[in-house]
Amino acid sequence: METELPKPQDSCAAIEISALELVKREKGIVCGFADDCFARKYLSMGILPGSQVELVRKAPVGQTCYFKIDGRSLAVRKKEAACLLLHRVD
Amino acid sequence: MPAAPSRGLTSSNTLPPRKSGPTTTNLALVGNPNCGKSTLFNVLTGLRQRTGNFPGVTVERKTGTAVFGNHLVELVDLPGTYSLHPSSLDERVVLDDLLGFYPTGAPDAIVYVADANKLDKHLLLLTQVMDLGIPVLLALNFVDELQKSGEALDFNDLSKSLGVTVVGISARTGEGIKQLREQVGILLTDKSLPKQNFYAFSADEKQMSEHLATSMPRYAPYARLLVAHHGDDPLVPAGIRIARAAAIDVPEFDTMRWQVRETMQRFDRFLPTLRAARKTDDTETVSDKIDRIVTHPVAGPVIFISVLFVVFQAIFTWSSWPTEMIETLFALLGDGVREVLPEGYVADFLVDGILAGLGGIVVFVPQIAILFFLLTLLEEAGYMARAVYLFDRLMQRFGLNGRSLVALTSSGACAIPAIMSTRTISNPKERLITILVSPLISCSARIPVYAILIGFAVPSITVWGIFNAQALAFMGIYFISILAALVSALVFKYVLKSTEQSYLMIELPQYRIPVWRNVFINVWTKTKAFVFGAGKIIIGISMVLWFLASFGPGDSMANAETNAAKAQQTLQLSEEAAADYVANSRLEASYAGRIGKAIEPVIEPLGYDWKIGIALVTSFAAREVFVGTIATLYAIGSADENEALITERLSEARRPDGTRVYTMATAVSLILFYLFAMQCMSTLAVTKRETGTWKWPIVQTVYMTGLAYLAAFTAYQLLS
Repeated sequence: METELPKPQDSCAAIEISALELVKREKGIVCGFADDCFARKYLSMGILPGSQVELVRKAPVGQTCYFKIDGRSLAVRKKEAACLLLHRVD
Repeated sequence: MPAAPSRGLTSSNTLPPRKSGPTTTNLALVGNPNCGKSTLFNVLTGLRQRTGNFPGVTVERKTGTAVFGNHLVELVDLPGTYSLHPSSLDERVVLDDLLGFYPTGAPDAIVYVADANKLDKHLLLLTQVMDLGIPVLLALNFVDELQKSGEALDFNDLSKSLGVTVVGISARTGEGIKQLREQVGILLTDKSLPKQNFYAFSADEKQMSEHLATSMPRYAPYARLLVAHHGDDPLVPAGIRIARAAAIDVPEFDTMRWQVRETMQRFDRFLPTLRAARKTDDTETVSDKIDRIVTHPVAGPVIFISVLFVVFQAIFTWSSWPTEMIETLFALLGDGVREVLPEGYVADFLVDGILAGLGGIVVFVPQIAILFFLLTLLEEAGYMARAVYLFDRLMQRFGLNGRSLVALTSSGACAIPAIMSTRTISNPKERLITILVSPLISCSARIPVYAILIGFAVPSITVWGIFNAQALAFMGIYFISILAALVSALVFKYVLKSTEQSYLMIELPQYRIPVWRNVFINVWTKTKAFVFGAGKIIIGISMVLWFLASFGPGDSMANAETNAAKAQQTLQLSEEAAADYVANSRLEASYAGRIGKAIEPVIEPLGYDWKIGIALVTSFAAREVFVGTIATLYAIGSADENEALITERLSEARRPDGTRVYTMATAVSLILFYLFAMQCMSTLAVTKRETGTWKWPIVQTVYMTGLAYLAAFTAYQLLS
């Protein structure tokens, strides 16, 4: 039953991007985290490998991101978004 | 399974037993943010609740009493958190409370509140709580929405697979609350523990937990593991801390990796038990549609500024008549006391010392209540999280946090609730900066001062066809205050050191119609906290000021009175004017007058004379005292604090050389002084309470008053 957290390098395919690189309305599937500390925070909010992430929009000065993750709305800073590693969908 | 020391039933209990029952049972409400926990708390306790602080930290501790079955229960509403691995002060207290590190001990039982529509997210914390060795009940909230969306959830199935009692409720409609009370009553009677250790420890973790077993004999293995991760806290008993430091000194211990692995395993274990787990719904909800406009890069900020404008407009217009009524009432009360009691110090003390202080607090109640009412509405509806999202980046540039916006907004009414609202800011540096700069935003107490002084600084003419010049000046004052707060924040950002990283991850909850019960209970408890918390300090200061203004060294007061009596006979004043003349002479001879004269050399470059000096001294308690002091000083008669009259008298005031005291230069200088100076004892008291040391209130006083002096000096020297 025990699952090790997939390390970004071994589970993410070549098309891996960070959530920061999504363009508006683009979707991705979480495949890992670039930082343990933020990983813990994402995980405790139920954002796991396999969760679907969509960039809804960015705040006026373009730094804070509004994501929709598994049907839930979440605002995170640029730095945190960069830690969320994704596969592109489509 | 060994349990953490319980609050009510063991000898380690420090709470005295309640008189009405044999023992007090302690129950904690735990859950994720936005799970409807506070709504449930309000339903269960009504107005039988108090707010205090967790010992040693400034996180609000909401407690209340409620009856479950035949148990009288002390209920505590713990802050919402996603996990028992904390990353902010708010989350830290949840862990400390559940592990029993506060004098109140660990709770006897826990009601875990989860959103029935988001079980795939909300059950993580439940599985952690279940491993603590404390009886737990799962309350599934928002079941009414579940029924509406046509989803079926088998409570029996869930109860069986988790091993805890499950009750479906809707805290908003009251559905299931009766059943919840019954089930909690049963749980409190049989104290059944969750059946298993939900989390399967790794070998290293098992060893770690066993290592701590001797120093924490009564704790569950998972509680020990949590202490290994987060036990470096002064609240943790010294013995446990020492054992912990030794235990974690092994190469295998990697706190972040372990926490991540634990979290992953918990999800892996409970997700399969949820049939509808991880559904991804791409349809646009009503909230999404509202957000398209409200969080739009252009429309969003425009809406926010309009909302702020409406809030301020409401504070000023709605509060005007209750404020006037309170003022009238206190004036009547004062007259009544004077009629009943013989003339003398007792009557003076009661009226000018105590009643004046009391009136000074109560007069703010309408404004504070209206501010809390509107802010709670916005918060309850889900709007505040959007404002945080919109302005986080801008606030960050100034060393603040998106959440600082709520505090800075509240400061427009009063810095006290504003500083109290900074508790949700997880980064200590951002929180501290928010506390330090909040009092720079012009609060409502400065308004009467500005109202009088603007008359001297700006003529009441119409400019650009439609604008009143004085109204524009008013807006300018607010603009300067916001600018000053942001620039000061920027300076602090570079001056203060910080080791903790700053982050923001905020859930934008669904928009909901506010629950009126929550709104009213919140307004009631917060306003009560202001009246009793800040009230004590304001009354104390008010009494000290009364003493300073009523007494002088030796018989100087008596001499001043006789001299004034003689002088007023030669001047042939009317009876009323004569009384005022005597009062004025007495004030001049009092301690307060002496202080005014003593500081005259310092404030002369700002364009002030010793009388303004007295007003500055008395304003230190609270700014609005300026008007009353000025009224007394310029012999207007204390009963008549009419703005037009004060303005008229002030314009007649002359310096010894015959020039006017209140010129445009003096007025601008005074406005700038009141704009920047730290002149509010209550704010300093709250800053002390929130930061835990006198260092920050002192820093606040020095930098704000320094800024005030500099600005007033520059303005006066340039304009005169």
